[in-house]
Amino acid sequence: MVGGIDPISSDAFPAVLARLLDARDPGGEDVAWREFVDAYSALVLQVAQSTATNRDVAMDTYTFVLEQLREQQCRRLRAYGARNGARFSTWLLVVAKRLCVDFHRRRYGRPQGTTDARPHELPSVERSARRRLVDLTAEAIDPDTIADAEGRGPEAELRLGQLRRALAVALERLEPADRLLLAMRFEDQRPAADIARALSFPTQFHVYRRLNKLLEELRAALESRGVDSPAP
Amino acid sequence: MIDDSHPALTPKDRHVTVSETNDPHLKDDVLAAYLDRALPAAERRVAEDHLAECVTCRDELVDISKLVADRARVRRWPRLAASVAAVAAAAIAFAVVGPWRSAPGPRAARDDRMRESTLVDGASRRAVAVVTPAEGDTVTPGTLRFAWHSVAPNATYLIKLADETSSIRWKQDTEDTTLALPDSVRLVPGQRYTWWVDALTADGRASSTGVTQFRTSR
Repeated sequence: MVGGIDPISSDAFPAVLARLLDARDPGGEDVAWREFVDAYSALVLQVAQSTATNRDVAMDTYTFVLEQLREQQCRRLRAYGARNGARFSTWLLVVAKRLCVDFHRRRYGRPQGTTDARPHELPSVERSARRRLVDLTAEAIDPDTIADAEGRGPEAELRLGQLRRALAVALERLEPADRLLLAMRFEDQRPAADIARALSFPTQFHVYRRLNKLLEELRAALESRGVDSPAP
Repeated sequence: MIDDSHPALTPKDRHVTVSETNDPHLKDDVLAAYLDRALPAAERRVAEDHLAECVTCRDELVDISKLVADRARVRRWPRLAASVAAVAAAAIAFAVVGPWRSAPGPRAARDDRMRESTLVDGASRRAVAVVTPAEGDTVTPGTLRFAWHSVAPNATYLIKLADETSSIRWKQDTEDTTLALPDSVRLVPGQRYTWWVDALTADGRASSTGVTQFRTSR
């Protein structure tokens, strides 16, 4: 806190940021920068600690983030324009988090197995998660058929393929928010609490209710496409 | 998603940035605005469309939403402690100075902070309108009835009442838009309480009143 300015609750464009970006001479910029660091140090440190395994790494990360924020006359901070209505503190969390990732990539390289794969390139774990959605959706339609599919008979494989294609079509027809919810639950296997927080559901209870509703809709969509028939 | 093999701009290009590895992801300001629920509906759809396909951005969304929540929690506790301390200070001043003079104090400032807290925590879900008790009301404990506006036909509601320590004192599911506080729940005179209602419509959409604070009479 500086001069009563509260980083989180201040306006979309905080005064401490405005003073930094408006500084006309190096001396004024130094003063404004110190003021900015005083105000947002805790936020940057919080992000750095969340990505680090120990205190030394956290402090290195914190230093890197501050350096990056100040370089080239605060080029990154000047990108903040409140155009989309985000609070500055949220925007800074995003930028700091991404800078932390950059720092760790520079120091340790990109972790194995964390490529930004497209859905068709998903690793086996994610494919199996997607398969869970297929199975869960199909359970109410024809459990016997799914049980047969485990036997890997040709008819069962054909039937499962048909089910997956139909499910893909049904998923494409959902609202993006609903597809996102399903992806977080079944592909990422996120707990309902994480989903509620990330997608602004009031409670986990609301997440479960919406998921149940979506699964009902998907089952109905599959049935309407004749997927409920045991015959391939 | 962006098709990297087609360089022509699409509407979605405005929402993504290209990282050092040429992977298109949500821009900083779009991800931040999404977390703050400040994106216009059309842009929100585009962002969700990307998020539904991009596990990297989903991971970021979850991580940063956790950081946002942690910050809000850290900020809320000192506020609550300050609020309790201020009430205690006001009570002491009242006892010392006497009932003929109102205790000077940060009442207005406290209320502003509480309103602001409500906005921070509930900005995205203020679709359910409170009728009574409204923000800042003083109520009689024995005859307390909660009321709010309906959000949709066949909606269900979950009302919660918390005391000054943020402990939930009462919660109740209902399909009505008014509920009386049961006799079994005793409110302490002269205390602050908060209440809120989460609504769920028949198609599974959620909304909330946000937190509303009231006080019981002495």
